[in-house]
Amino acid sequence: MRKEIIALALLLIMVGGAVWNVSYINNMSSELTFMLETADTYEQIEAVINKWFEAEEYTQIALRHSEVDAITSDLYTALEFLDNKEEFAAAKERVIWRLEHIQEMEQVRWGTVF
Amino acid sequence: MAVILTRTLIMFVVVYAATRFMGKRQLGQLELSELIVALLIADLAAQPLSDIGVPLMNGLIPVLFLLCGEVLISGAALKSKNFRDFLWGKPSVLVEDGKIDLKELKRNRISLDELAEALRKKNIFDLANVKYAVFETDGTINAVEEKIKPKVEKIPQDNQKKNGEKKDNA
Repeated sequence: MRKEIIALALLLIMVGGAVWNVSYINNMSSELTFMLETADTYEQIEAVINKWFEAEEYTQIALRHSEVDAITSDLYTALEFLDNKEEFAAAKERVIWRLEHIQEMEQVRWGTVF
Repeated sequence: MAVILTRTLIMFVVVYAATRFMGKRQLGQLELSELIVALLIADLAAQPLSDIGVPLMNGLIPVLFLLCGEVLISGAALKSKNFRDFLWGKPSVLVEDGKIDLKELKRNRISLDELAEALRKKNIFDLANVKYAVFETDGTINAVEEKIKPKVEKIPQDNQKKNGEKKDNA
């Protein structure tokens, strides 16, 4: 009986962790998306990058490294094209899309499960 | 390289602990659900080892989830016969008192050759001597041979007396 109780407890912890994970990623992505949408200056983009790096420990554990690297790369690309309006807008859109994508990937939907 | 080594060590410890937690049943003849869990764990544990871009959690969490599921399923199977039958099926009697149940053979998709082979592995070469041959839920065939009692001849009374006299004379 003890093993079953331990197993059930572990299961509940994992389910709880999964729910928390979805909530955390949603909040993080929403926050970064909002900051990015209103970012026009070098300092603002840098603030977004710093915010992204603050969650580095979590992102490296929970997300595919290729996704994390792609977002980091696109953020620096946005910084690079600050002077070019169109390129800058495109780079920002790309980051926003990636942030929404990692948010969607963690949600249980037909598309993500199958 | 160091990352792969560390991941391999962690995964080895976790899978070892998981298998140990599930119990010795995992090492012996596996039931269907146990076989599935064993196969899945092996594959899932290997994924983060072969690709360091995949988070280690992508291997650890499914392994732990399967471990918990297997422990709960086997615990429930222990408590409920109906659940056990639903999960793992029931053993099938293929041969009884030397007679083959062809219906059961067909139902379990076992050929006569396979049955004969399984009996030979149990050192049974004559089907007529088989008391029971059972197809177990773990896929093995167990058989019990009918014990043949040796014929004991009754010595006629006259011969017994004659033998007794001869002994006295000796």
